[in-house]
Amino acid sequence: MAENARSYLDPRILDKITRLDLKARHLVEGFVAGMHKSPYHGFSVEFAEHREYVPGDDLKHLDWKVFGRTDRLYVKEYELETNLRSHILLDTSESMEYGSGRISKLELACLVAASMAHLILRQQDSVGVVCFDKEVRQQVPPSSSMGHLKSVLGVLAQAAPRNRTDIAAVFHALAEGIRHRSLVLVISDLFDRPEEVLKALRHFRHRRHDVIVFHVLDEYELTFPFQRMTLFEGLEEQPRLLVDPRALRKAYLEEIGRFCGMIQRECVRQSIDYVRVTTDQPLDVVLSRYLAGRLSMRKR
Amino acid sequence: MSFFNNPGFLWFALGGIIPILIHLLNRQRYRRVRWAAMEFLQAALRKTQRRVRLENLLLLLVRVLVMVLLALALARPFFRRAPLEALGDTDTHHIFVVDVSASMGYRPARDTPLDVARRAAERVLSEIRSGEQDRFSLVTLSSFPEILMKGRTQKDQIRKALGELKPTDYGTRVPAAMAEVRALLEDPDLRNRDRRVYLFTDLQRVGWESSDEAEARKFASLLKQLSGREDTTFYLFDAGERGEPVNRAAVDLRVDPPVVIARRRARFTALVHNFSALSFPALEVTFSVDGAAQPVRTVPLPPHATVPVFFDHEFVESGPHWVSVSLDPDPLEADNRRHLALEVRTALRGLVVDGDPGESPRQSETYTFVLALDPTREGTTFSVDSKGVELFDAEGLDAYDFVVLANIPGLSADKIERLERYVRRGGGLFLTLGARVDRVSFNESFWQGGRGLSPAALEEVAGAAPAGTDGREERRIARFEARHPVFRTFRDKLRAALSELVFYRYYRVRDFDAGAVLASFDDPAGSPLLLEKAFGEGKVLLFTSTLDHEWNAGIAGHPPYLPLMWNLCGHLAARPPGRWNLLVGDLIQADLPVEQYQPPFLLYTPGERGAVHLAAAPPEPDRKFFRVSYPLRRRTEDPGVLRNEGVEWAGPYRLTRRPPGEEEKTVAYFAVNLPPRTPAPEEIQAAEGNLDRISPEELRRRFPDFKVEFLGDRREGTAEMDLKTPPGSNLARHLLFLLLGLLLVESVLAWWFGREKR
Repeated sequence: MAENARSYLDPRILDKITRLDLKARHLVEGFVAGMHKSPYHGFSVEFAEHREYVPGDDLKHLDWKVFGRTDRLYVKEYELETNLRSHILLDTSESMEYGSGRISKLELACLVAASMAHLILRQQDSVGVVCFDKEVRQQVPPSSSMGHLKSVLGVLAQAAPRNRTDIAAVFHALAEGIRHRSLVLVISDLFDRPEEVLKALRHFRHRRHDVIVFHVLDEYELTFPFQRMTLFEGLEEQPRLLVDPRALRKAYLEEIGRFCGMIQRECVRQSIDYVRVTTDQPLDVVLSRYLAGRLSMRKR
Repeated sequence: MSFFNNPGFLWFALGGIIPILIHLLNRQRYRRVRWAAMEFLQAALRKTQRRVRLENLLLLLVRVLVMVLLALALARPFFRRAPLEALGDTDTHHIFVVDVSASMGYRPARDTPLDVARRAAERVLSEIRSGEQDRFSLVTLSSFPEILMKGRTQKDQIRKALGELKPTDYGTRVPAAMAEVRALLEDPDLRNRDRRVYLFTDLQRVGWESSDEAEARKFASLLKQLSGREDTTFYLFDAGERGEPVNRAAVDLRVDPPVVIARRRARFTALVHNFSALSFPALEVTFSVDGAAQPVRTVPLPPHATVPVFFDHEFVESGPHWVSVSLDPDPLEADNRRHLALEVRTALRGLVVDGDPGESPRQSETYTFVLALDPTREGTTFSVDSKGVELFDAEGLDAYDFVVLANIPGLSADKIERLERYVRRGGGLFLTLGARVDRVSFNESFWQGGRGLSPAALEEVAGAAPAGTDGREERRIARFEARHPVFRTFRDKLRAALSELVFYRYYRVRDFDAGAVLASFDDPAGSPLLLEKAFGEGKVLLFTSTLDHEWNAGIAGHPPYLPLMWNLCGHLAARPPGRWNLLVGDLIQADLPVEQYQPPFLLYTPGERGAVHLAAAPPEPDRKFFRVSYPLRRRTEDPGVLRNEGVEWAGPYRLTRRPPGEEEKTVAYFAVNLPPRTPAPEEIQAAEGNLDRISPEELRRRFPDFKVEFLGDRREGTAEMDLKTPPGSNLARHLLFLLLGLLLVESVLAWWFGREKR
């Protein structure tokens, strides 16, 4: 808290928070305006009891299993959950430092996080944030108060990329640590062993959490447009390579494509929402497209 | 074996390191990027590393090869032997050496060896795949070889020249032709290229052999030197006829006496030689005088024999005449004729200078001598002018055929000088001795330590007391040169007649060549009586006794005296036959009296040239003669090509002058013949008419160091020639094509490899 207070008072941090807040707000309001309902529903609503059907009840709540057993019509009644509990998992490893243009992956990731935090808090659900690299660096427990936003933004504004990544270990620990069913928003480039990452995501699902993966990548990581001889200096203690990029381009794109495809396919298989966010795309379009898609899925 | 035309350009091959340097430099110029997706990059690198390395290596290799090939192409390497027929491109100096000696005109059937040689040369020319840098030269092979063309660029020029070649009247001398070939090979304008010498000849033995061992060794060494050069290949095509040659030749024609007097019988003797193994039982021989044929004679001609044929004739008119002999036609026409040019005299003019005139003409030293020469004083054979030594001024001597200085005490230096000039120009001088002769003065004036006119120096007088004294010792002629013209009357049966001449006194002589002695006494020392010395173009005879009876037993009264003196004077009067009788290749030169300077002078030649105007410079004021010459050494358009000096064709040449307002007058005849110059057996065997061949196998044995490849030969009865043309190989063009191909490959590879990178 003291730390937060200190960072809160740092003009640069304050400036960053303000800007992040403004951007996220702008983003959210941009697509919330078109939405009548929240894309995130209390799917954490609990079943309470059965009652006999009376004409006018919503047929979708009919328990057909009971009808099958008893030939009698009953509806389910639920205990309404007051809050959607969300956890934003922000990758702050060194790899997130890379940015080929105006914005780095981390900055983009922070914007995504801030936007989602805004959205969730706006519908009076709780949101928390966890910054991690090879271990959890900072954690803000979920809360639904609007004042909590500042805490969240404060953490986001101070997030600095450092250290190597160990997504799987962090996720496994977090999966076990989050007790209640929650919405887990993973915002990362996922540059780690893919099988372990996917295993960790499956762990979240096994624990009945709802997972959204915001796969943050830089445009150049996806297009590899380099022409001249280049010395690639690896982040996260990776070696340096002096190569002719043109000679490797095709093979690199195949590798990165295979990686992204594998993540995406496995996410789909695990009913994990997969959103690719790249630094060259307008974030509002990406988010609004995703959220609109999620809304339409809810209607079915 | 290969080498380079421009080896200096090989240094450019070092440019092959340029692509390597560029490659290395490029690797030093890079940008730095902090990169997150390193694992994917590493995975990509693992997948492509080997392929990329190969691609880079391949491109680098191609680029290095381009630089090296460029250097090689500029250095213009070539092989003497193309490894593949397809590489038969040349940058070569092709030297065609074609035998045009008289034997190449031998026609036993339809084609002569020159026809065969020409066809073979044309075929070689056609089969040469020449490049722009090729050069062609043409040399004729004969005793007077000529470079007809040097370093020409167009085959057609050589082809045309080949078509115009004809057999000449020259003999065959391969060493002379090879000397011209060497000049071409060493020509600085035609260096730095492969050389091929194509020799087309009938392999006549006389052209390849020499009786002089030193000359033969020199020739073998020359062949070794020329053919042993790295850049030179010799080829030989045998165009000769392989069957037994059939040839007869007129090898000599001469007249006796050497000086022919009008209205006196002269005997002409022609020698006919049979070079073949066939016998000709009735060979027809025809003489002609001044072109008019005389009755034909028939003689048998056995195999390999030399047979004389005689013809007697009296010339009515004095002046220049020519006589020729011709044989029945045979396959080699060139040597079937022989010519002789001669000046027929009205009489021989002599000047007799008497050193002891006596008190009356009968008592003079030379009375009987002059009487012997011109008994009737009509000057029919000899026309003699006599004068005493006091009146002798040695002027106008050229008007005389011979001069006699009989028993003279001495002469001044200027007279001696004029005498020497006269003899040097061809005059004959007869020196006789006696009591008036002063030994010291004589040796000073006429001997001059061996440089003077006399063939010997005088010593003391030998012999008995003057005539009339009893007990004087008689000396007779013990030995004489019977073959000498002076003694031609005293051969065979009349050999002993000269011993009738008895001498009492004579001068002993010293410092003479033994070969100069024509007759000697029977004294213990064998003292000479008559000696001869050649002096310039003339001759001097020294008689060591007196012409009159003072020192002898009146030899003038004895029968042998008259023929002896006639022969002697006739011999003195004879001019060198070489002035008018020449061999092919000799230069015609005539020194004519100034009185005959009446241009224009025309020389009628037997060849295609016909009549030729001869330039003659006006004689200088103090000269009594002027000179005309034919031909002059001709310069051609090509400064490196000179044509022969010397007459090209055998036959009679007639020199005429045209005095103003008068008809054309014949000044002289020149007879030009094929060798031999003399009928000596070894010279006859060396003549062009001897068609004996040297086989290729024998050529190899005789000249083992002569590296020559035989292109082919003429097969009997067929026109087929086994001809292999040797391709050389200049790789420059092929290297350039390869270079272009490599550049294309480099472009394609660079595009292909880069395609995947875009």
